[in-house]
Amino acid sequence: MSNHRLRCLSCLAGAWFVLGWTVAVAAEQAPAPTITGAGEHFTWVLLDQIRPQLERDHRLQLSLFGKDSMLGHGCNVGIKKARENRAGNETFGFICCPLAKEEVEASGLTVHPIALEPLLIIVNKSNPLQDIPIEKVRAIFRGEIRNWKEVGGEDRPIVIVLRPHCPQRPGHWKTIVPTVEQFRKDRIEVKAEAEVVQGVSDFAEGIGNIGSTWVFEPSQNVKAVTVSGVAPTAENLRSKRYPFYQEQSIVTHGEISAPLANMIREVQSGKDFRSVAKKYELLPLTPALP
Amino acid sequence: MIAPRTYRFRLVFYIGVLLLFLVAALVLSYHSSNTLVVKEAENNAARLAQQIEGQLRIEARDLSERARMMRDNTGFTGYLYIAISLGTDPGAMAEIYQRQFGWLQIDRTVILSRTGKTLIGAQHADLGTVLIKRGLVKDAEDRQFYHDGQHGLEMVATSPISYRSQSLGVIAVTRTLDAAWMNVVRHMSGGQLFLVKDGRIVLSTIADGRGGQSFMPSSDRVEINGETYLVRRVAIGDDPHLPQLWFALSQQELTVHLQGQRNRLLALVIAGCLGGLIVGFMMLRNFSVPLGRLVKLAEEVGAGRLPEFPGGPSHDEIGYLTNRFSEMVTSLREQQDEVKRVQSQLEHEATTDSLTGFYNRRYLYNIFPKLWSEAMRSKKNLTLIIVDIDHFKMVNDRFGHPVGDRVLLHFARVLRDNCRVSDFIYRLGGEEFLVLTNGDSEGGMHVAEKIRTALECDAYSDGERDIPVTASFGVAQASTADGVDGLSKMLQRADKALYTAKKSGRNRVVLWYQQRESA
Repeated sequence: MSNHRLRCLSCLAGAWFVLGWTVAVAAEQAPAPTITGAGEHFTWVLLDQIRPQLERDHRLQLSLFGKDSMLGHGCNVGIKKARENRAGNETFGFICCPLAKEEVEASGLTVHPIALEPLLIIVNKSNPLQDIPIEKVRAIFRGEIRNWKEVGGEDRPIVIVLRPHCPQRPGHWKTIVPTVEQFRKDRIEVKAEAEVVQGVSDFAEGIGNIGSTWVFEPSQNVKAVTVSGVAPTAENLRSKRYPFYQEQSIVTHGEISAPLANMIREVQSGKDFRSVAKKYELLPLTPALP
Repeated sequence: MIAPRTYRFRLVFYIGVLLLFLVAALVLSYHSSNTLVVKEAENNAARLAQQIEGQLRIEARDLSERARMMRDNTGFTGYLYIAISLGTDPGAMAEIYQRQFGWLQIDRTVILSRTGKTLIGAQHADLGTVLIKRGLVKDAEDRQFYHDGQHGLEMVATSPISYRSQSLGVIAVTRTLDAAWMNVVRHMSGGQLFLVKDGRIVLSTIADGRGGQSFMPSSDRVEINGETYLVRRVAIGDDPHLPQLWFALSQQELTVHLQGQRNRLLALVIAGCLGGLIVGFMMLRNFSVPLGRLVKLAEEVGAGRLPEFPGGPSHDEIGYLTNRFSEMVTSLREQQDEVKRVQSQLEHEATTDSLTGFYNRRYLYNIFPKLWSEAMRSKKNLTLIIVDIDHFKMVNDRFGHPVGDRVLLHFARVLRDNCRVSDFIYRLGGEEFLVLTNGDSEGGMHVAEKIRTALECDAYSDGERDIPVTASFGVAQASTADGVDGLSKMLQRADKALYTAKKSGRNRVVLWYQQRESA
């Protein structure tokens, strides 16, 4: 091979390398697509904790809304946000209540189950009780038991703090009492999960329920009790020994992009999610990725 | 002394009137200010008392608004409902109250159930008792009233509370009209406040105010610690058992205010007077002085004099007028000089001979009475010498009139050179001349002879020819008998002497006296 040809080939190889490097840098610097998600507080806690990994692994930007969701602004917002999905403006929702089959069919939604979340039965820290039998829990919320001394506590009236969200959907608090009407009438009814915790913290006689992903503040005088001696853990949910739970899901509407589909799959079964699920005692509903 | 009706007089008059007006205003204001300030202070006290009443109404409305805030908070009323219906620990109520309403500016809060049980504010039992006594625990309306309790005078606002249409009780919030509140109002209004009960001061904003002092207003005035106050009552309710709130303005402070007002007025008037004087001075300087110069110039012109009047810069109307007037005077002066020059020339031409420059016969007749009178007054003699050139007609005929004129000029020069400065020389006509000299006939003879000899020795010469020129002289001395009009007699005598000289052969001098003797 002559020197002239060798030089030509070297120049061609150099040019090819420069072109490839430029394309790679351009692809690296291209803005990641923004996907907006909204819904209730508990799934928001989960997604928010693994967001950096999701954004990094799937080259997207997540915009999440759901912290301290209020009554009527939790699951409903998640469904509404999912229905806003459009090409170039991709959205999804997250909910803590399983949707009825009719609602799914009518709205054209696709439900992506994530995990079961134990519902903690919380009482005031001043309450000496550490455990309440399951039937007595239900009797308390129904109003059949109205004084703590009936369950082995002090002689104090029981104050129920309740957030009766998503009454038309199955699951969640309905695992305690099936309908709102069956709950005790003289109760404190609040609009946000934070107010449930605050109410129980304010009343020494208080009792309420909250998802296990709730982050309690040190100033709040609240503690979770075991139910019939069973702690609210993922393992006890799996073995169906712990009776109160809610189901966290992601909902989408219509076609979704590959990055969003991959992200949902990651949320359902990725190792980062597994780590967070373990932290909050969530029971994943999808097998882990190999 | 300034003449009336002049501009300067009017200017001084107007400024004087202005200053008088200012001084009169000062005197009037000074004397009426006390009444005005006191009256204004009385009105002010009433107005400020009304303002404080308005402020109290606003605060009462705000207080009611705060009670309604609690009433309308469903979270709070839900807690109340549970607390009342279940009889829970009141700690929960205290928690939510502090969290939701702890920031509100309220002095005391009491919440009672319909049964009179205290849910919040157990430490304010006195207020709870009042609410129960007034039957407010079951009242369905918002209320406001004043309460005089262990915390002092309080403004109280109440609002009934209910939960899901179920009446729970009443909320009462208070605002204490304490020293802090009174001091805030004192700074806002600028006066003092007194809280009085049974004719004694309970609370006040004055520096040395002690509780228990007597407070008995008379004619809206009260004296405390030797200081008199103008007072107005602030209405805070109809309950006669409540303390009275009084707003007061110190008369000493009013006096200080009055003195300050007077000083400001005095300073204003002095400044006005000074301003008037300065304006007047400037007007006199800028208007009166140039007008005075114009008036003086007009007087000079009116008296027939046209003085030098330099103009100046004409930035204003008077300067412009002065310059135009100066130009007019200058023009008049130039025209007057021209008239004088022409008049002088005409007079000269009317009294002198145009060829020789000697005086003519007319001037002789004009001047002679004066010369004769002077001579008589100084007892001096006056002598006439008539001179006639010999054979002058022959010169004209032989050499022509131009040569004749030059001969006359030659003769005139010799005549002038040989006369004294004090002698008067006249050309009487043709080749006849007259010399009028001071002195007697002997002196006249001497002058005549001197001329004759000089003429005889100095023939006319024009470079081509010599023409001998001689003349005959008739001399006559004036006599006191001739009188002031005796010129004709003297001329006749001198003429006779001349005739004799001509007849005797010409070129000689003949004295009239000699002729008479010889005759």
